[in-house]
Amino acid sequence: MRARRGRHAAMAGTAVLAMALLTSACGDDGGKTKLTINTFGVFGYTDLYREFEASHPDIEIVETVSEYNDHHNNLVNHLAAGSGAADVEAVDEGFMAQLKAAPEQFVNLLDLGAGDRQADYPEFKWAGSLSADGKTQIGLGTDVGGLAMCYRTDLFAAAGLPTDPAAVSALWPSWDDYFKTGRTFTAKNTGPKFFDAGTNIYNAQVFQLDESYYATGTPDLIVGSNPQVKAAFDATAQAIADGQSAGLVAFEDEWVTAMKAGTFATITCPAWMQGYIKENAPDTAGKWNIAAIPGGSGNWGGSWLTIPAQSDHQDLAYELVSFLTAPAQQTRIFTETGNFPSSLGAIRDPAVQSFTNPFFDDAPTGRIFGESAIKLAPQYQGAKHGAVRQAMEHGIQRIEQEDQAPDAAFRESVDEAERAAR
Amino acid sequence: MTIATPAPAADPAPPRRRTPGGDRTPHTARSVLRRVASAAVPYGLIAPFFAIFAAFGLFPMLYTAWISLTDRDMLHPGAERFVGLRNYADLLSDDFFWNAVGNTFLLMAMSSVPQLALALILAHILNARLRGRTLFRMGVLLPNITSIVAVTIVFSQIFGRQFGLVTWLLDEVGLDPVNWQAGEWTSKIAISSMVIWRWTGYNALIYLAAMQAIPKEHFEAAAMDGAGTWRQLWHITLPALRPTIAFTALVSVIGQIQLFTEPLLFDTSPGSVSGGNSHQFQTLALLLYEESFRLHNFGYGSAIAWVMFLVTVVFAALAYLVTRGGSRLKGGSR
Repeated sequence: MRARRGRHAAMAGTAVLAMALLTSACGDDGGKTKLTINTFGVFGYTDLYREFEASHPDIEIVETVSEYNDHHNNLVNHLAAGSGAADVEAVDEGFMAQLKAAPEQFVNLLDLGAGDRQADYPEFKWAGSLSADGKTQIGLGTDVGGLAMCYRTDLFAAAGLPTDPAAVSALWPSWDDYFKTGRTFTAKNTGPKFFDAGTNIYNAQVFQLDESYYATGTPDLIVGSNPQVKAAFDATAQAIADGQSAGLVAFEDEWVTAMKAGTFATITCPAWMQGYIKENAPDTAGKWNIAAIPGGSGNWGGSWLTIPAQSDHQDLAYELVSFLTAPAQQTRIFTETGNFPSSLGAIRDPAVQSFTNPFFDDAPTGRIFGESAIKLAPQYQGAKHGAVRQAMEHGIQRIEQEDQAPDAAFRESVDEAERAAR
Repeated sequence: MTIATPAPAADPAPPRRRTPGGDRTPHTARSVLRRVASAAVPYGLIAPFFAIFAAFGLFPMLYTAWISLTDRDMLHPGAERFVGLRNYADLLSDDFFWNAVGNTFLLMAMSSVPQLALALILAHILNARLRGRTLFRMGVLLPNITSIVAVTIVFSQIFGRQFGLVTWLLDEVGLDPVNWQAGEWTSKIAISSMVIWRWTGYNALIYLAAMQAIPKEHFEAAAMDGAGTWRQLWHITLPALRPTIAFTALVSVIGQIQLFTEPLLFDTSPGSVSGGNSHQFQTLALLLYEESFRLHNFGYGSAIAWVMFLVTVVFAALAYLVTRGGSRLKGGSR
């Protein structure tokens, strides 16, 4: 009996232990305060963390870097669960519209003095992370993805086109001119195609519109009725029909392979695309140069640093955010990693303005991307902007990959977009 | 998601031992206690399973059922609204849902049937006297223990659009390249080939084990009567394997209803969870994922989860009827 009771006790004990293990929470250790920050890709902050720690001896910064989609999906899950988010969370433009629609999940940085920083940001960057009612600022900008057009000078020369950036920029003040150049290029039949993927060309046009998928300031979807969206879609479809597209799917492995093989001559080039090209196709060094984007300006991507409302160290987190996003630090990151600053102070800094990129034949990238970023007008994005954009990309890809008729592709895409935004 | 495994029936408590004359002793209270305790032991032993099943199986299932009756966005907790069966009604009129249902069942047919047929043939070959038998028998299991992610990535490269291995081979023999991902059928062929690759060996081993339980005399008698190896497969092995085949078919069908990783990763367009530009290989599980974790429509996603659960239950019931029918037949011929 005793033995048996002992067994019962052991069994019960095991069960309790199992439950305890499953529900146990991590305790806080003494000593230094841990400040956590979650980012994705390359933010280039490592040295800056050490500087911040040097001036704040009782703080230890712990950064976790994840893949782009994982990072943002984790963030959403942690916000929904009410715990698990870091003290500072980076948010990219692609997810910002959705997250700022839930401003109560974040600390209002205006309460912590972020209002002082407004004058240092281009209007579109400041508005990009501002809640719909304009009362809650959930993030401070890190970088922007000002648009340019990267092109292969060797492939242009082979097709008898000019290779000098000024002359190339003069070829395409508008998208019509760009596609006309594409027809000239294609007619020479030198082998490579004019651009990589229809979606990159389509998106670049939509990024430039005053109003794209949502009516400004409302939750109303206008993707099906906005004539400018239809025009961008049709122009891209026509260029695909003209044989200008290499028919790749952007960011897929094969797209990288094609970049190495040189099967396309131009590519929509936000500032961060320079890093992509350099990293994926290092052998093409010196064969690229950078011209202005048709239509003059535009932005694709770029991030903010936010502080989730669930953070236990909000004031400290804000100190870190203001340090990392200050103009001096943004300038330094640009020269070290290439991420283009979103701070006007940094953009106008001579160190940025005079910067040239040897990989792109010493193109004055500081000036090119700076002009593009400063000129930009903000474009309103609704909560499901990302899903709507993907639905439209599907249509372009159906035309490109599956030979669907453009009108049918557009109708199907709008249906998909409206379903996604319901 | 929950796999509908038929809940194992709790073993009946062992018959209570009656100590001779025990009931009449003055120590009744103690012996009652003892009897209760010994009766409780089996329940105690199986309790951890049910406790864990309740916490991680039953509760999530019921909670999912509750969520499926609401309309909620993950980012706005507290803003959920009770909408009754509206999510289910919407589901029935949603083209994407029916598309996913069609894709799931097509992929199920396209991968289960060849996979089980191939497994049978493979098992038959492995059952013969071969040199290095153990090596081959272990070898067929290799695809199954390889990481599914690795398998899918390799297959995605084999079936690449412009630079894929198959495209290159087709080009070598002078055929036009095929854009595997883009086509309605080509994409399904590519995905079912991944499933077949992964599960054929596993099923072959199950068949092999069942085959080895068939008395050798049957084969010897057949061989004496002049039946060749394929004739033996058809007339002896197959009938004997009926229950095993029903079992593997059920497991395979349940797996196929939840097919997720292959179509997710076959869509090499970064960040896409739509199963192709026309949703041509979007399965139910993939649609569930897109609705819940991309569009954050948790109520709708939960409704899809429950429909998947019900479909699985229907299939499990069908398989049960089939196998029970089988054993009845056997019983009748006794």
